[in-house]
Amino acid sequence: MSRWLLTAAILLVAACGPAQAHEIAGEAQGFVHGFVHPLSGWDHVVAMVAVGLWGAQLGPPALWALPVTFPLVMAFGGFLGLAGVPLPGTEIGVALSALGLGLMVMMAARPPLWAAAALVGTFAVFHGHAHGSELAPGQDGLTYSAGFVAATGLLHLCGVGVGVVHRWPLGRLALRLCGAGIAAAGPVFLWLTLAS
Amino acid sequence: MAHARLITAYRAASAAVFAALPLLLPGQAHAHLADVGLGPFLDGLAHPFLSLPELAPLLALALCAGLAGPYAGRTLAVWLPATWFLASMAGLRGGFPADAPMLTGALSLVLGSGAAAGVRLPRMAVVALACVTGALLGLLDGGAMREAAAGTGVAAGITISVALVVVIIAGNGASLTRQWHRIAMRVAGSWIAALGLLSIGWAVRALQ
Repeated sequence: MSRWLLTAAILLVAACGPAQAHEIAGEAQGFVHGFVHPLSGWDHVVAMVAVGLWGAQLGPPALWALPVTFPLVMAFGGFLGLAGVPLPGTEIGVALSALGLGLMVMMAARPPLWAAAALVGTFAVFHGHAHGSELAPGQDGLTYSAGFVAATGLLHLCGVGVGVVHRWPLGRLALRLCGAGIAAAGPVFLWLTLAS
Repeated sequence: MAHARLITAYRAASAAVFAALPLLLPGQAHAHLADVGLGPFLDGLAHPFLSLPELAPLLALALCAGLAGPYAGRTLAVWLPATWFLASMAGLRGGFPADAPMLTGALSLVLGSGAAAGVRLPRMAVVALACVTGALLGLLDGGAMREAAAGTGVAAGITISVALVVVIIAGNGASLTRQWHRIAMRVAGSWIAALGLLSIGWAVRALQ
């Protein structure tokens, strides 16, 4: 099971494209389009994977509680975006999520479960709002939404799959290095956001 | 040993079918009846699988029953299809819409959240949820049937599909006892709840 998760994680991350998880106008249609959308940009991918990595570091119940919290709160952020409720600094929040979650993984931080869930939930709102406010009406948002919720959850699963290396000393070091890499990407995404 | 392999193969096949369902969904999440071209009964049989607004709360309720235990699955397998059929017959009489995105979204949100929380529902709660869900979704189907000038054959097909989904999902769910199985069902419930919330968001956006 761990080998399958690790393999799936590597394949999924390798399929990612440039760091722009923004939707092209008029293309919010179909499950497949929605599924591909979160995979189309590193800013979204690294944050989703970091949630899975951190959950794996923390172990049960955070192992599944964090990947359950993120899609739910992300959907709330999406609801706010769709309803037209403004959320200032959405893209900055998305960029900072990579920095924040990456730091947590790098430091192997072990806050109480409620604090970890609160941090993950805070970042999830920004991700969801970015999706919800950027999506064009398109033909059908529901199947599209099903696609990107599923992709988000599977990205978490990839993070958990990679995180199984946590059981070995070298694996724990590797995870913390992954976290450092994700945290380093955060300022790059932030610079790209501010420069655009 | 052969029996255990057969059960494992059956579960794997069920999981593969339900995982592939999203790829079979049309580009639009129809609440209206689709004509599959094989007669009214098969139109009804296919309808829940082609209508994401109805499939999501149905799956969530079946997951709730699977997490609660065998008694919940048996209860749901009786009450939900029966209520659904009676409500669709009532809806066929007229006066009900073919779709209600906010309603189906709210159902998905509530039932998905219940599954995500892994709540062990008492029997009366299962009956109540089955009746409420069956009534609401059945009335919507009745409205869709009236719009499509469809008859009892479609209702019969829908009812059997609903019963099959409950038996497969709740039955498998109740028999899976390892912790990661239950976690996977709860995660699936959270996805359905997320989808329900987004569905409400899309409905709000459509009103603006």
